[in-house]
Amino acid sequence: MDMSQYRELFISESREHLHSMNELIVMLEKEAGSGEKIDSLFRCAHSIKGMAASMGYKDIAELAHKVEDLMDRVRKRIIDFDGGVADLLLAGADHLEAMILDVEQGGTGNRDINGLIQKIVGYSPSATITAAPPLPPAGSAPPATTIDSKPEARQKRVESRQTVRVKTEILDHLINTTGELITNKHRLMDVGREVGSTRLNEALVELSRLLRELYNEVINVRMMPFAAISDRFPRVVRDLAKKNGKEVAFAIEGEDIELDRGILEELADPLIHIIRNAVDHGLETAAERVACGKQAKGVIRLSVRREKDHVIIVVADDGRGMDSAKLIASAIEKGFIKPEKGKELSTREALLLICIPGFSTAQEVTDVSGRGVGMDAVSSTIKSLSGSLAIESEPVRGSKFVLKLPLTITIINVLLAKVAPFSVAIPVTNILHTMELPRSMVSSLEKRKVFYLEGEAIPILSLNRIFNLPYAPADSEFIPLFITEIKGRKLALSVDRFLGQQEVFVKPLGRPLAKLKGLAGGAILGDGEVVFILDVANLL
Amino acid sequence: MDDANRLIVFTLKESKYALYLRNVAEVVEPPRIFPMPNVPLFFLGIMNFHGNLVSLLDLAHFLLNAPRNQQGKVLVLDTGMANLAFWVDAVEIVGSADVVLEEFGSNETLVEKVLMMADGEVKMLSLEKLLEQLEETLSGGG
Repeated sequence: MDMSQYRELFISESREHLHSMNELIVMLEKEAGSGEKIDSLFRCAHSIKGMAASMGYKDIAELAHKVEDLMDRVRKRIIDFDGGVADLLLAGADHLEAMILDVEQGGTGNRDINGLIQKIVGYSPSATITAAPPLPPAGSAPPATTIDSKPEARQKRVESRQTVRVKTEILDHLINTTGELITNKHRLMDVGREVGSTRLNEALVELSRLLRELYNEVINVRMMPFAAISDRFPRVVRDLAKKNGKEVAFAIEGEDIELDRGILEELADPLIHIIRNAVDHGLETAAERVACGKQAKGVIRLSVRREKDHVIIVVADDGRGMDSAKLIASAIEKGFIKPEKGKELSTREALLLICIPGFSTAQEVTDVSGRGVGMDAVSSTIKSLSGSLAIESEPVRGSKFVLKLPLTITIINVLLAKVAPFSVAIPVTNILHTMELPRSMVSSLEKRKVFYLEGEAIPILSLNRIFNLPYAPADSEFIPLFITEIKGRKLALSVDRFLGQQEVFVKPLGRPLAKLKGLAGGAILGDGEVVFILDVANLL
Repeated sequence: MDDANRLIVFTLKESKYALYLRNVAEVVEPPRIFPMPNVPLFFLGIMNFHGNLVSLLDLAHFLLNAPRNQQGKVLVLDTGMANLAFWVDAVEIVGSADVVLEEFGSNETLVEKVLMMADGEVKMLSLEKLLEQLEETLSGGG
């Protein structure tokens, strides 16, 4: 029988089970003895074993079987669920993940697993329970397909019949087609303005309404719960805490809040970096914490909540915190800012200094978060998603990283502007103000053009200059500009003229243009003109 | 005929170049193009190719530093590989690799190999190296 058509299903279902396994193992380490979780973990391994065996993936089935056996020993209370068991199970889950990746890439999933299997089979903990009665068997090793007659299980089955699995590329295709429809709507509206037909305009109003409805539905389909990326975070914290010899309690709230899958995919790495920093640098060792009157166990809380069209993600720790005065002193010493600028910085602005490329307050470089993607990359990624980052921190009390992100980024509102021969699109989320600045208000400060807004000197830069383009003749008394924030500093960017606001469908520039700095993508306007969308955060 | 090895041969000045047909989406007449900021002159602009944004490279300028044929053709690469099109002088043949009599190595960085065909030699472009070189130039390294 040709099983290849079931391969994708095997891969996606196995990954779901592995996700659950990782979560359950970390949870069980915190609250050992939870019979329900032990049973769930057992069932995950059992399901993977069954599916792999039926697909002919011998080694995957074998390893899953040994993991299942180890869980069976825990279930029967032959051994305790201790750190050693957790390590072995996590190693097993990692191996299974790698083997499934191999299957996905067309391989057999076979690899040398003898070493790990021997460790699992021969595992003997220091404290073995022999007298305790076995846990009640919750369905004694039910395979994934076993029918459970409990009401909750029935409810789950009804729900599963109302949902279908859809390939992510189909979801991408759906949003692309919707985006093209919106582009064509603008094209028709241009025609409508030219011909001045009431009937056409009425039809266009109705078309706009229907497109908005379609767009909302498509966006809803693309939404995924935050849990899709946060599943792995407890494991990251657990491994890192163990490596650093720290005690950490990690909690996540709001995992059911949904975001566009495009944003979620981009968010995983920055969040892992912030969490790693919190464990590695933010939290003190147990001894240090006790010495300053804190609980030995540090706390990291990740919370997600929705506010209108945005999602707010907060990563807070109760660690040593950051001292804004020290950050300013360090920035001055390293030549990132001048002493007089240091005096002007607010606490919030000072804390954002850690996002300057090359700025690091870590006393030592570790292989966990002192190198690799830094806070500058975190900040850039958040900005490129049209989001913002704010940091709150107090010495001894801890730090809080607040990320504000739009729900979706595929269709965005932009302000169109002309810069020499180009039309550029500025995401409205990057704009603090737009204004026509009277030329008489421009003054010089340290050889830079500035103007004063509510007492604050705002440097003025020209987009023409950034893009090496000629200036438009200065025949107007006013300079059209928008004020934005780059790396925590306010900046005014001037253009030749503003053209108006519009919603556009963001298209990738692809190879090789994606390497161009300062551009986040492109869009096609109703008249067919191609415009470039500015990546304001990475413009300079 | 082995579809995977079918070739498309095009000319730039006096030289002939080839690409695997599988890497080419379409050959079109020069389309409407829009200027791009901050790019070298061999980038002619960006075009809307069936809803995809595709940058257009003047291949004669880029490879030979020579002016392009204004009546040329535009050869759009498969968008799975890159969002890039080449302005070339003319497209000659679309054929099988069977017409290759002999193959030689090449000293030119962007030429994968030289193919000897019945009517002369044809330089097989290395698309990956060409893309890498363009990316290096655009990211400020070139």
